[in-house]
Amino acid sequence: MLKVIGKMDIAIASGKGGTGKTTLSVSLTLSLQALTNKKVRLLDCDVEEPNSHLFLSVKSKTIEDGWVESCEFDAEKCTGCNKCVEACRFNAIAIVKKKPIFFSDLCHGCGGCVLACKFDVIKSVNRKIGKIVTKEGNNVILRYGVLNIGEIASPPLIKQVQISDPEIGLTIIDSPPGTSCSMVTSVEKADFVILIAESTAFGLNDLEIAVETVKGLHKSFGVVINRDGAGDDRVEQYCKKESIEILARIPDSLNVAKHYSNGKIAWGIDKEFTSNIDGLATKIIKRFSL
Amino acid sequence: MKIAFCIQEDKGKESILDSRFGRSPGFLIYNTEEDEAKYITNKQNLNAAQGAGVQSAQNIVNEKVDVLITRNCGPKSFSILLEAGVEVYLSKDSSVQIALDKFNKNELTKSGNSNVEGHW
Repeated sequence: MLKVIGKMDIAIASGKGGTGKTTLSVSLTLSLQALTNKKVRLLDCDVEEPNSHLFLSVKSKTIEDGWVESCEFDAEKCTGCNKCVEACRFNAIAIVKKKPIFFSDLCHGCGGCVLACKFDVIKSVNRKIGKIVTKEGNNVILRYGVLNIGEIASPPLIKQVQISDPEIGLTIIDSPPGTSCSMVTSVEKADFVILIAESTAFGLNDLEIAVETVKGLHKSFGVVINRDGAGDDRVEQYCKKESIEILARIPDSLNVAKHYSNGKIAWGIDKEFTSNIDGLATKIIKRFSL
Repeated sequence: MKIAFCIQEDKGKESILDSRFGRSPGFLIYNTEEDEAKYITNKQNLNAAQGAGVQSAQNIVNEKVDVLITRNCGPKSFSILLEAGVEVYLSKDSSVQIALDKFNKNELTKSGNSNVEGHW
């Protein structure tokens, strides 16, 4: 897999939503920054619902437009040969009375129709689908995308969030939930994936799907059990059976939840939580010689 | 005149109407002049990730159909059919024969717009 983000990229993902991806991403970013005293970058790739910025006090820096490639038709030149319709895997084009009808919201910008057209009717254009925000402060760079409401394809925007910067030693990627295209796009360039899960029936079910996905992507990965003690031991048993490394266990804590609901990350405030996150960060620093 | 019906499987005029257009398993195209019915499959659209209605409408247009009788039609399909001059009639009837009889007696309503949202 092409390596283009930074020197070391760690993605934080989960099958299930609401299991602590953002909590872990933000606190791990802060912890790694503090322990290494180097610049750490956090990429919030959940472009449909970015929220890492709510928990980081970094001042605003730049806003860029986010684009997807789309196409434009010069209907005058169209002969109605139908080659573009046959080429389009996304059913975004119809030909009626030898003229194209194009549904831009179905277009994924693959460019197949541009290649298929022999009459120079179609050209690639950029269509704005959202924005990319970059913030920086206290040796932390935060970059996140915001997909416009109504847009259905997030991968193009996620790829723009994951801008390459080989100067950055460490990048944390906060992945969207689930295991669809957006999650795959978020984790596919990572060197290591941390899957975070709660030990409940739903938590394990979705963890198993996430494990299959990262295995399919040939990623090294480990599991962090969040809210440990609140559920049962099924995730623990599963990891043992599948020989999956448990990187950390973060105990269930009402105090951590209280901070979260007040818009604060408990790292640096709650002693037990901070020490658990710092323990995980130390493990990562040692393993990857950061 | 060619009339297309969304059907579940080909049983000629006794075919059961499907409730969908884009993901209808097939279409029965009835030629009124020759009193002949032809079946075309729409199977390739059943598993389409998206744009099934667009492709189904394209299939209908390619068959040079004059009238489509369907239970439902979404906005993208409708815009293609409108552009092609295919008239859309809505029917909640069970079989092709019943819907055809009603159509011949002018008992079906011609649709001036899509009647359901996309991804209905």
